[in-house]
Amino acid sequence: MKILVVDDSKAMRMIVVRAMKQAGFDSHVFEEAVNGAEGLRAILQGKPGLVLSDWNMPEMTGIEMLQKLRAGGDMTPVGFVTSEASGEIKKLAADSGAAFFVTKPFTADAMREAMGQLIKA
Amino acid sequence: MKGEDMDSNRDTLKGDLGRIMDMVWSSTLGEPLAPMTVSKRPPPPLYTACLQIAGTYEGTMLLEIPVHIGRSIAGQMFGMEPAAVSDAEVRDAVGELVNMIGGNVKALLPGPSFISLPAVAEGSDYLFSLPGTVLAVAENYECKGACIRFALFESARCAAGRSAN
Repeated sequence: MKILVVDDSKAMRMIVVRAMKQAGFDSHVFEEAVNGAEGLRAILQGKPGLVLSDWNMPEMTGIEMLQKLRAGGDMTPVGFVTSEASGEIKKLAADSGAAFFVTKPFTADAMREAMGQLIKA
Repeated sequence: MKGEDMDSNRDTLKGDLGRIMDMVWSSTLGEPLAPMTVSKRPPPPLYTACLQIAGTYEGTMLLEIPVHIGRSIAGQMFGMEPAAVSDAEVRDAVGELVNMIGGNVKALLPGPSFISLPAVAEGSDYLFSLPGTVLAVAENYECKGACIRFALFESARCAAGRSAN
């Protein structure tokens, strides 16, 4: 499966991919995008099976990316990996159709727990 | 809010901040972080990473890290030798650190509020000025024998509102 990691931080994209591989998802193909706008293009063109997105990013946030996808009828599973930890943000994510919500900092176990139902190791 | 309540809130925030700092350091860097009793700016050269909070709560968070520690942290985050990490990659890593800490600290503050993207300054000879704010909490920690500092400044309006309640 193709997995898209959307985060404006290069360090965090590397950490997310590393944690996913440590969680046992190392047989999948990881691609990256640096903000929501680039992520949206990558989803529509590349059709990944799963998207892991940051929340706060320049140009287009993660939640804006998800809302634009759903408004266009695209149901690609999108979840958030973000330092945003407040209840209202988690509710907005869930109400917008997010598949999971992982708070930074995270462990490989947290990734496995959040995504175990969505993808196979 | 009465004086003892403000002190109690500040003590709670300090405790929560210590827990968040330890969580970020241990899970992201695998490094222990020890609280320090001193409260001062680490000696330069420094990275100063800044995050703004706006909304119900208004404030600014600052993370100050000696340059050599910032490079070491970036090396761990990128899985590279510290010397091989570019200056831009170090700023990216330090910005992500304040983002992780700040997002978790924001969840403890009145909301709804929003955090900005991180900004990172680097150098030996600069001062950070935050007009219209007062220091809410500042804590120093020891990392690899060096001092790092996290501080939360809140807007004078928020501070006055808390005092009036």
